[in-house]
Amino acid sequence: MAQNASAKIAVTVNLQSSISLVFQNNAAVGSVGFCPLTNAGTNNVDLDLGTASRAGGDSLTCVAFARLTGPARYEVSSSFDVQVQKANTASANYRLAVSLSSAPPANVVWLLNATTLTTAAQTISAAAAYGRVTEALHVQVRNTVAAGALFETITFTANAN
Amino acid sequence: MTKRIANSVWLMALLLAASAAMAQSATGVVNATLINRSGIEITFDTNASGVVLGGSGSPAATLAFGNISAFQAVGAGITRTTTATTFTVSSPFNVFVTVGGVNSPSYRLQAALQAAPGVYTYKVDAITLTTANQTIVAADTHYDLDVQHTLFLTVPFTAPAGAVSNTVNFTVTAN
Repeated sequence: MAQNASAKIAVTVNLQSSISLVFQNNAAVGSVGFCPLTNAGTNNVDLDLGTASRAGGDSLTCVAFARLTGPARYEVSSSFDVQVQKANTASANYRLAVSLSSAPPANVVWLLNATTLTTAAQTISAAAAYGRVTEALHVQVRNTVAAGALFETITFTANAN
Repeated sequence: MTKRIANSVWLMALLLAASAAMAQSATGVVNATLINRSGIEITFDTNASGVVLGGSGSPAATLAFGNISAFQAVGAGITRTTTATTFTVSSPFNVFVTVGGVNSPSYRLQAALQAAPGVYTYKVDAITLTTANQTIVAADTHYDLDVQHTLFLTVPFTAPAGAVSNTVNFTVTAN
């Protein structure tokens, strides 16, 4: 008598939608206003803005430097790309919000594009298209700020709409 | 059997619907560092009433009086006074001082001649210059503004005709 047997595996999957956010060097990296990111291509990067004073400018040629008046201060800035991708979602766009890890010292202002950053999330774009977008980080320092290191961790959060 | 398949499809549809309804988010951080250092800088600007400076806006300017004499006309921006034995030409110029990284209420401005003046007398404002630093202003509070000063050159009638030159080195110190 012929012997046979059969079996089957039932495969199930719980497919979830997701989005990702990473930082990339801009195509113009290395030129004025586009400093290189350390660990570009990840979601945790370092950005060195050099050593600066209003009198002497910035030590890094990739940093855009400007003397501002009323009140006297200087500004350094550098741009990079934020890349947000989506998968398995019908989301048409996303909201990008940014916040500082800690309140900056008095007379120091951190901005993303034209938005002043605080420890509360600030919406940079309410409905950004998925893909790469260039963002400019600015730091403004008044003359009265004591010499020393200014450090901030800037958290970017993308929420699918 | 047909009912079991139908139930499975229904369950999968529910799972997918639940996934689609979940809010999706992603985060990333940029760790940014800027070293703010102290510094002070002095630059010279042309004064509207004075001789046009070469290198105006820089810390290395030239103030050329051009051809001067005791009795012939002088150039634009030059003021001349005469005495019985000397004549003096002068021109205003602007000093612009900026500071950062330090809370400085004022600055001290000093000036010195690079070479001994010989028979000539150089002054900035009322201060006669030598090869040693002379304090022009002990405490000027006007950071980030053009501050007018005047350079005077006094020539005795006994000096021979010919080129006269010197360099005035300015030093600015945050108080």
